[in-house]
Amino acid sequence: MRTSYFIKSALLAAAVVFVIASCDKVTEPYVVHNQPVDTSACPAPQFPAVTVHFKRALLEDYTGHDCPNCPRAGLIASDLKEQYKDTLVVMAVHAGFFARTSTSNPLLAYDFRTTAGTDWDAFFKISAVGNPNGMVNRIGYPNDQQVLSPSAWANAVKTTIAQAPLMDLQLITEYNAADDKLCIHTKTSFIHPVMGRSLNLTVAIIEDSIVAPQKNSDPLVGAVPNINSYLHMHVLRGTVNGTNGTTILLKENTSGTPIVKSYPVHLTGFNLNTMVPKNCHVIAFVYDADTKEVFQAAEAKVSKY
Amino acid sequence: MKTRFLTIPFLLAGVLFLAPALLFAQSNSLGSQVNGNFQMDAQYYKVDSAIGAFPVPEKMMMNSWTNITYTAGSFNAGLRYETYLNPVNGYDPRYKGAGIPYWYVDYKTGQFQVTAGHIYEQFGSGMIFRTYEEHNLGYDNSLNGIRLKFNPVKGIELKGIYGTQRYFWDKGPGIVRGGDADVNLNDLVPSLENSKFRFQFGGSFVSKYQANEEIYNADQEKLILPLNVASGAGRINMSYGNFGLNAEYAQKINDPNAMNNFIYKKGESLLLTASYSQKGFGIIVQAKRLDNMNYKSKRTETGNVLDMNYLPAITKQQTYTLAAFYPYATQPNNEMGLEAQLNYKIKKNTILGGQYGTDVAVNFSAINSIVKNQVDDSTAIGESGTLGYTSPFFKVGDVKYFRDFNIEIGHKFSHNFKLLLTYMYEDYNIEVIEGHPGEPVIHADIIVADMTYKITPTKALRLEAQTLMTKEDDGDWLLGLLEYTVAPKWFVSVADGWNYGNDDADRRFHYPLVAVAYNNEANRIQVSYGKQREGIVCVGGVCRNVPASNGFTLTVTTSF
Repeated sequence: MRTSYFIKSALLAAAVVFVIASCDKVTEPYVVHNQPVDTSACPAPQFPAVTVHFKRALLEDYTGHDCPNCPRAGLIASDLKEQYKDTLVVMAVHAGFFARTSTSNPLLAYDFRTTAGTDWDAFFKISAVGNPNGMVNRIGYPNDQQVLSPSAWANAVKTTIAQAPLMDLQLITEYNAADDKLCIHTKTSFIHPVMGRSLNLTVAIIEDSIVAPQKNSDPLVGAVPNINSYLHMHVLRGTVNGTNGTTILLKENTSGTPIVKSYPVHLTGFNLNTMVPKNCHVIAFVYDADTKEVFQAAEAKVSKY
Repeated sequence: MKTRFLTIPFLLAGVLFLAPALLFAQSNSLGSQVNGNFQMDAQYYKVDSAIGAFPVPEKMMMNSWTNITYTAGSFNAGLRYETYLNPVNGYDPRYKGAGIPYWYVDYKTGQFQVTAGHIYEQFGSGMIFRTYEEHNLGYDNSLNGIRLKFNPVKGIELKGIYGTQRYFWDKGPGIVRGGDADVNLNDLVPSLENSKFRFQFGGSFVSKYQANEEIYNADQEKLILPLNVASGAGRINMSYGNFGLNAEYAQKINDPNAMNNFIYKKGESLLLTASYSQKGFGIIVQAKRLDNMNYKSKRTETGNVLDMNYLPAITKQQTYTLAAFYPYATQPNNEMGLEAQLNYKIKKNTILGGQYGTDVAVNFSAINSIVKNQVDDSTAIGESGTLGYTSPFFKVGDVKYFRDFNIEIGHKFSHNFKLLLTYMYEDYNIEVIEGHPGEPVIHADIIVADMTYKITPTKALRLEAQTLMTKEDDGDWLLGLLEYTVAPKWFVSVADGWNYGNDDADRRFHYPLVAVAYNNEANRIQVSYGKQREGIVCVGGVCRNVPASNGFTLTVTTSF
């Protein structure tokens, strides 16, 4: 009897110690103040009328400069972009262990990471499952089926694009190089009424042709084990409206008239990066806040010059 | 989808727990019995950025498994409740959640045995079919479906399986079907029943079906995929007196998948084992060839899930920490290997044997690549959407994957002092085994001295001194472990691993581990504190980091 008493007390004590130790003391400030957005500087333009609606897919390639098998996956993503052109939006998200930086290793000096990318990677468990891996429209999330290996991307993209779109998403960018001001305008028009769903809109900036080192295991892509001047494509540079974007429809409401949103951004120093405007694209996507499924995506160049 | 998992098990759970009560009057005649076991691993994490232990937002994570089985005569049923809230470091994060992923009902009637639910089964050595669960490794590929066993006569067993496989809290997309026949000649032929010659043979057939999908090769050409992929295997097990011989050969037809870069070559594997044993002497020799044998019930899967088969390892499973530092991982698509193990006991009352005799075990294993030749001049080896390569069956490839030569000498000096000495020579191709391109083969020499001193019949002190010497990877290591046991209840151990030979002087870390355990009959509680180094695990060209950890672990196991 004494021993069972002992076990119980030891167990209880250990559990209590564990639970007590698992606490976070929060100090002031207790809230994060929202920065007011000055939309008056970015008046919304007239959106052209849309006559043909089609669904565009979002392919996210989770990658890292220290991931030797990632360049091959990058090639698959680029090939798909080549094949589907405007109907596919590709975003390379550098996040997780293989995207870490190092001050001692020049190969890992460049920091490709972004707050949103790191948050998504943690939420969708991509790098925890392994790199390279990705998602197409974030489908499968509630059942832990969202992580797709590169060979599965083509089929998922094709299946997704073949679906009828729920809404249309238009994207207009106006870039003023002199002021370095980028105005991003989105218009979400519902093709069929949507009800019982919360919808969010995320707007992000991606950049092509960033030259930096990359680990590589595939001689067909380039030098093994390191490509010193690898051309990084579709690199996520950050989101304009946070990790989860902006709410555009609440569950209790039914979709109605089109929703227009405008976001002014300064490209210089955006997310602490030096960016080349002509290599940058704005991407936007509308997704279900609960299932995380992306329903529509869009992409527009920042500047022709 | 999780709810679908839950509804049926809850019904079943109801039946399980009510049935004993309802059947109580019959319980004696039926001999009904309920058994169970429970394991919980909870870890509390501290940040230690030096070794790479990053903040864990939950601070504490926990895995647990509870098994309950109910047996009444020829009926039995069971279920396993699992929680991963959230999965402890090193587990696939997709296990997050709680529920009953495993349950079954099983009954035997005459020559038939029927199992419905989740099934663990193996055909032969498992080269074309094996489902199993190893929760300490985070592995479960159970088959959700039915199994039928049929014994037409004594000595013949036929098995059939049909189902889909576990994919975390969901199921994989492929349907797995198969059958196995096993004939035991000594049971079948009455005159051979007591013969010294034992002979058993068998054969199996397995096929998977997965719906079509679009997959492209590097030239953007769409692949024509086989929707049904079949495999077959044949085996013999025979022995005569002290000699034994087992052989199994398996073949799989074209199975383009993410693990073989979508080539259409057939897969082949062979496993041979020969053994001889007598009192004080035993020898076992194994040979293995694997060519394109990765067999999963989902084409595009690269993770450590949905395997339909199991390719047994033929390298020694090392148990000492430093000897197990660089463990070989079977390369299902490409390896040829050999293992030999010799055990010898030097008799007591001889010069080398001393008063109690000396045990000597010598083990050697060598694993290389297979030879791959181009199919034709215009096709690169392994190119997707082609036959991939040709491979001469008996030729050994040039790429050295793994070498392990180890010798273990155990000697009891007196009734209370025992010494076990191990030397191990190892070559480890980190480029192939862990997927680190450009890194040199690790050559390591490992020496372990394991001393046990029995203070009294119930109290013992054990000391392990280990060293690993290598110029590659993280360099040299030392490890010391002191363990004090008060049988049968208490156990205390203190250990420290020191990476003193790291090239980077700032990374010459200590990895201490302190553990206390208490056992009482079938219950055990263990609390440990320690640091664990980080690692990178690669499966099928997809790599993930298992972060370093620093913190407490609480393990509770019970059974009834």
